[in-house]
This record gives sequence, structure tokens and C-alpha cells, in this order.
Amino acid sequence: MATASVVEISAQKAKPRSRIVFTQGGKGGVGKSAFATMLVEWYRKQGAPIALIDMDSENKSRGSLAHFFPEARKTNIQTERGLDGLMFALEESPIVVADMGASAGGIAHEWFDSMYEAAADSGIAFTAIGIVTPDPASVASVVAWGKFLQDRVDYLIVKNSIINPADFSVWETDLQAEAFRRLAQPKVISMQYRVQDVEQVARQHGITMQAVANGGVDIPGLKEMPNVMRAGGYRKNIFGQLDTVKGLLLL
Amino acid sequence: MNPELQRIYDSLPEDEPKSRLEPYRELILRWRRQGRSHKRIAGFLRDQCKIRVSGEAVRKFVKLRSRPRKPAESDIDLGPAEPLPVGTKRLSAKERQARLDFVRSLNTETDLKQEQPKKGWDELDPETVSYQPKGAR
Repeated sequence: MATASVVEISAQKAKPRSRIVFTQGGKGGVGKSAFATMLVEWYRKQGAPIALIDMDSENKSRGSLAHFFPEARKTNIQTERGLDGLMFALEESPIVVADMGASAGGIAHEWFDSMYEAAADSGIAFTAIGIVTPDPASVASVVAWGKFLQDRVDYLIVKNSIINPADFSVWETDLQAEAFRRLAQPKVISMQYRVQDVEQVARQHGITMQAVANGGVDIPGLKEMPNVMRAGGYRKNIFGQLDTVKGLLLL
Repeated sequence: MNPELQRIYDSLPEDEPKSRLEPYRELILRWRRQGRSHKRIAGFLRDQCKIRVSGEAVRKFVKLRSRPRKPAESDIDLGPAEPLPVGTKRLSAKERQARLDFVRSLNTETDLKQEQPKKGWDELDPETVSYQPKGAR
């Protein structure tokens, strides 16, 4: 009984007080923002308070996180203290979701090196989201981020089916990907293929899948019943996947 | 306090600083507040102040000095807090705890993560990731 209590107390102490969930800014066009958008919708469905940071400086207006969620704070990380926005956001919520743009590696790595230790001491945990597609470059990007971040973060890998059918053989069989999986112990989920008509039009207008699924969007391509039903299906599918990795997304 | 006891108290000299980092206390705490790591601070002290200490020693020093102190004893002026970006709502301690408790209550996952190894990461080589046709695997 006494031993159980000690274990319980230790587990309690080890729990983070805040979490920064960020998409790894590496290979462009793999669906980082598309996934981040669904992730925000999932948090909203849970009722979890989150702060949003849009660090995608290349994706200036259309399709960035701030385009879907105007409350997301746009931050230019190409400045010396650009990533400090993550810490400021923790002032308003214990969970921060940040979407990084492509080619954010160098500056993010530098910032992480200088801030990680202090952040960890303050009870801040990090979840790095890597998106893999059939493109070997997406897998290389995940491996490169793993080489840098090492055991300092929790890893969530999203297999994004950007084509149909999608061949993830590089992620599944490449020796480097295998080594990454052994070291990082990532949780892996899948994002199903989404019909491009729905995906592109929603992105163009900054419309969330929730809005499309609710059927109140008066935009050709998004208001037709099959696409309204599709949007609902996409949400249900990815929410089901995210429910299996709550430990990496909550506290 | 009894005047006689007060006199005795006042007549005693102050103890010498217990740590040789004591003279740099304000500097160290300011650096920490700016988010600099213990290791980096140890590097600054070595380069700028000619004090050789480890990052671990800095960590212990900061930990001890970061405990809540009585306001009357406070001799550190950390300066005004950095202004938050426009639109940021700083939470009170009570609000923060309520949000934390709520977020924790949502986390029903009991599956414990496996421990990540400390070594082997440097051997990862993203340059060699490539597509292998099925016949070549």
C-alpha cells in the first residue's frame, strides 16, 4: 500500500504542467497545416483551452492556421526571439498548438537548444508532430528532426494519405525510419485521403471541416450534401485517431 | 523584539556568502528569467566573470534562490516583467490551476509510453533515406 502511494505520488509529480504541441517545420506541402487545423478542431470538441500560434511565415494568408482560426497569433520565427511567442502563449493556456512553416528547422533548433532546459524545469512538455507522406523527403525530414530533438520531446507521427492509394513503404521499410521508430517510440496515427475539391476549396476560404460538416457554408463545392457528409466523415476519422493518443496531446 | 536582544542581533556581523556565485545572484536570476539554460549561464560566468562552475552548480544555486522569500528580505530587483504581446490574457494562479485540472481530467489515456533511449540518436542519417522499389528491398 505504502509503495503504491509512493509510485502514485511520483507519477503525479512527473506530470507536465503545460504542453507545447508543434508541427515540425520541415518538408513543405506534406499537410502540416491541414493536420494542425483538424487538431485544433479536436481540442475544441474536447473543450480543452488552447492557445494557437501560427508560425508559418511562408504561408502568409491562405491556408495557414490563422486563416482558419483568426484568434491564432501570427508569429514571425525568422527573428531572434520569434519563438518566444510559445512561452507568451502559455500565459493564457496550459496547452499551446503551434504550426510551423517549411524550412523552420535551423532557427527552431537554435531556440530549442537555448530554451529546452529551462522549459523542462518549469514543467513544460513538448510534443513534436511529424507528417509523413509517400514522399521519401517527408521521412528524411522526420528523421532529421529526431536527430536534433532526440529524447527531449514526445513524438506523434501522422501518416498523411495525400494521394489515393498512398504507399508508405519508405516510412515502413527504410532503415533510418526504422532506427527513428526504435529510438523515438513515436505514436503513429493516420489521416485519410481527402477529396481535393473539398480540401482545396476549404483551404482557399479558410473554412474548417466543422463548418463544412455543419452544412452552413454557402460556397460552391462545400455546400453540396456529399461534401458536407464527407467533411463529417473526415472529422470522425481523425478524431477517432487522436483519441488514441490523448496522452501526447493533453497533460 | 526586546531591545537587548535586538542589540545583540544587530551587533552580529552578517555571514559571508555561502556560495561564490552569491555576488552574481541578480545576474544569474535575470539570465534564467530570460530563459537561458544553466549550462549557458555557466559558460557566461566563465567567459565574462572568470568564475568556473558547472551547469549543475548553477542549477542548484538557482533552485535554492528561487524559493519564495519574505518581501522584506527581498533585495533583488528583477525589473518590470516583459510586456506580453497584445491580446494575451495572463491567467491568475486560480484560473491556471482550474484549466490545468480540467485538461488533466480529459486525459483518460492509461497506456504508459516506453522510455526513449538516451543514446543512438546521433547515428540517425536523414541523407540516406530513399525509396527502394519493391524488387530491390
